[in-house]
Amino acid sequence: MAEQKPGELLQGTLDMLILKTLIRGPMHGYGVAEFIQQTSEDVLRVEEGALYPALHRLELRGLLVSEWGVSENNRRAKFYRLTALGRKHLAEDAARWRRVTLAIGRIMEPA
Amino acid sequence: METGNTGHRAHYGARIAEGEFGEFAASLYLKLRALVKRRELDRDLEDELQIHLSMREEQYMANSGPGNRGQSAALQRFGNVAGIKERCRDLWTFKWFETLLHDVRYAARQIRRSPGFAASAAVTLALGIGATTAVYSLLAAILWRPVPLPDVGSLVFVYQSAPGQAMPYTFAPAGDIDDIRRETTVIDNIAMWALGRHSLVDAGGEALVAESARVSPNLFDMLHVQPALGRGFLPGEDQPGRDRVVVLGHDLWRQHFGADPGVIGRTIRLDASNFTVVGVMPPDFRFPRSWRELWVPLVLTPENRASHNSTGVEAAGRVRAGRTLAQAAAELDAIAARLEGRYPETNQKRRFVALPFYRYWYGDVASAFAALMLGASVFVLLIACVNVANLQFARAAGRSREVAVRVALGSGRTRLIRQLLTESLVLAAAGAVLGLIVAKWTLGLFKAGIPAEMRHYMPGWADIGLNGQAFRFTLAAALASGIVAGLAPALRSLRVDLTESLKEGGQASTMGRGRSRWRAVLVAGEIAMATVLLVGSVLMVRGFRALAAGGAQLRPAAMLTMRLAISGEKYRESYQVANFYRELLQRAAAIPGVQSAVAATGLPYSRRYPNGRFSIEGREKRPGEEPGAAIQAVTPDYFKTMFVPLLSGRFLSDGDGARATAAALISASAAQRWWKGVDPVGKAIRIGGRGPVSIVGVVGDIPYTALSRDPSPTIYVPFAQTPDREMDIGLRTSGDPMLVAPEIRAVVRAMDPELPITNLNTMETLIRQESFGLALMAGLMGASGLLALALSAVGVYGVMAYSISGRTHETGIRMALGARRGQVIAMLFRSGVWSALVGLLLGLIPAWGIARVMQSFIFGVKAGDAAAFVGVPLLLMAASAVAIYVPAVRGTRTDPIRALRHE
Repeated sequence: MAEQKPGELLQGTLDMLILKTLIRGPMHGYGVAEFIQQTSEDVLRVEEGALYPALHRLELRGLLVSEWGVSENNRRAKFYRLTALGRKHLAEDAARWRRVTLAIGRIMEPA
Repeated sequence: METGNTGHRAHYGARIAEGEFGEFAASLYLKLRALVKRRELDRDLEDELQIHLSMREEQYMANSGPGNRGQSAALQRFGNVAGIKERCRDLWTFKWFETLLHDVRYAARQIRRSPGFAASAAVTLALGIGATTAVYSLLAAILWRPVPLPDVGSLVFVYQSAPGQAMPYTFAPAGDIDDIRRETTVIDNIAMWALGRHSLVDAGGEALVAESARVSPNLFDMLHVQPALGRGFLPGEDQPGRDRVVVLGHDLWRQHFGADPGVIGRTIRLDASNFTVVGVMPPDFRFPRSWRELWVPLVLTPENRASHNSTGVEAAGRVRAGRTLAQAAAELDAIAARLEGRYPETNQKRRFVALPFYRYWYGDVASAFAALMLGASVFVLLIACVNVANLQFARAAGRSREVAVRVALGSGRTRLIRQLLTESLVLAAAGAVLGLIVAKWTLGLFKAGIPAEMRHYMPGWADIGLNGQAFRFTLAAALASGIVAGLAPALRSLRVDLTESLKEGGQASTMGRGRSRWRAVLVAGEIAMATVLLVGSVLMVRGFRALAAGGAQLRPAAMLTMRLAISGEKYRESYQVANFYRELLQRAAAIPGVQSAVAATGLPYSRRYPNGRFSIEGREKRPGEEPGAAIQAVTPDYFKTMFVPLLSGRFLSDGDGARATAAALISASAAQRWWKGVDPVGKAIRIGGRGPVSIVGVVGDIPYTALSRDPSPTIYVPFAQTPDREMDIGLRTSGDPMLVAPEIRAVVRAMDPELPITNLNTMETLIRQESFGLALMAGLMGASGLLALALSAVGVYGVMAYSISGRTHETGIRMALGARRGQVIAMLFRSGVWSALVGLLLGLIPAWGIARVMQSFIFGVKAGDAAAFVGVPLLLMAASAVAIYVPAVRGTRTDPIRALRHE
């Protein structure tokens, strides 16, 4: 966990992306991984080794809840849903993210 | 911009904290749920990951057509399924807790495998933990009771000290306190009091004596305690004439006035005068110090108030808000210096002492006793820990292969240490459970052993027992001893030589250097601690016995004592007082079974010390430094009755009457102190400012108190010349003194029906009561000492037995090479005795220091007691010699051939 391969996501960032993904509605783990990969046009590839511990950690923090349901092609799957606390967290994370990227942008591309 | 930014951040921080608590609560709930539904959690996790894998597999198959590659590709992408599952699983569990459970289970399994070891370790720890818990509970019940007063932090107590005084501080004269009260800017509302006794005649007509305090009217205000019923004293009620008011204690009110609220305003008889009851204090009010049954105003005449030479009073006030005790002390120093200049006759070298509440309440001596008792029991516990540590060492040696295997297989060091420590903590927990039984039993024994008449003086007697506080203490003691006993062996067992230990039969043929050093340290440490403890307990026990033996010369079992204090109009003149006692003694001597009847100001062991100052005629008088001695007014028969020998001159006789020349006898210790090398007979002294008194003889010293081994210099004056209203009466009887008790009661009643008798007891009982605290300490210390001796002997035996068993191979080689058995035994014996000797010397150094400290505050203890400093070393060396010799002999009994095959 200590070492970061290029292209792997920082944990905080992964948490934020998971929360952002789930704002569209309940999803299972596989769906979250696929969504992030597709939406980022294959730039961000979510490692399962990081995804599931992250989902469980978020659930334990009360930002997500999970329940068993039936997937689009009629299979049993565990779905994660955002809680109110999760939404609040996402809003805070997003705000901070915007501030940081803006700041970095100013430094990298001075007007 | 700057401020706005910080403000924003602070706000954000608060929000995070709030959110964090929510998250903590959520995760705790979820984890607890997962703990209950552990199997469900595992299945869900398994399912979730499997479903992910099969979805991925389907996707691969859909993309690249049918084939078996999908499954392996999915697995490849996923990575270590078991690892991820483990990581998720860890998130859901209380990891440290479950590891702990696992360790405990493992430890229990290990311990079950060697029940002999476990039992001896647990029992040893139980003795140590039990002793410590019992002592702690005892102190908590008797000494560290909750203080029944509000705001004690700002209370400051004022005493005086002067060079040459035996006590570090004594009561200051009222005049000094009055000056302090006027001049202080730091202390508020100073109140004064003096302890006393009042005879109370209640409705039944029977006179009883109540423990009382004479207090200045502001005392209750100063203490922030108001009566539960009625009122306290008013300003001005300390003036003669307005002072006949009394406040009752709750117990007295309940027991003698039937808890009647109508008692307020009623008149009661105290010391043959009428007093009006104005108030009743709340039930738990205890002040001064011990319990008091009633309070009356402390009357100070203008002369008292101005006196800087009278017997002192106790005083306390409140440190003003914002000021400190140190400031109060500094100010008292300055006032003392001013008073020294103002009253050079009386106040030379006099200083004032400011004590905080806890020193007043608990007392320096009691606190030192507490420290001593607790220290002794902690030493017992430490010795027990050393024994258990040694057992663990022995076991660790036997388990070195197991540890080596586990280290070789990659177990972490910390994990192993934790596991070994857990083992010792489990043992300590077992020891704690047994220890609580030991403590409960000890406390029960102790509680039952306190005589009924002493319970009265121990407000905490009923509370002696185990409570939540004691359990917490036991828990802490067990935890500490588990770590102390387990850490060193755990660390030691990790220093294994892997290749050596893993080899077949890999037991080192000779003791490793490190291990034998540990053995030496253990033996030395154990003996050192036992030395300190035994020296302490021998000093204590011998000190106590010396005091108890001192009283034997008075034949106290054949002596009845009582105290009378006559008062009122009938005894206004001193001839009336003298007549009363003369007649009383005549009637008492006529009782069958009474051989002689005497009166004295303070009989031996009566706890009345009539100390006074005197001056020697013809010598320079130095103010504030006059010699002080016990001034005893006695009847002529006193010396014969108390077996006081005449050393020179003559005894007092009936001829030394009221009209004869004033005469006095001095004790040998007084002669030794003030007439060294001179014959005191014929010399004259002045006592308390009266006319000259001629010394007619010197008599031997007799003990007056169980609280000192040194005789107190005493001056005896004839009662006929200095009659006193309050006197002790002693009857020498031919049989059991208590048999004549009803008859002497009848005699007193016939002479004055309102006169109460107090302290009616045999002198033997008085001695027992006075030395009760010492007996208690001596018993406890003696028991700790014996326990320490037994534990350390067993411990040394264990260490030696183990170390010699580890050297079987070596002794086998030596004997095979031709060494005689005796030589081998001598070799083993020498090495053990050396360690013991080192321990003994190491222990004697602190023991000497402790002996000096004990001598300074425990009556009767002499630091240079030969029995302690010669006897204890001899005893310990003998005990350790046996404990070393026996295993040495047993260890060499084996046939060398078998010893060499031993592995």
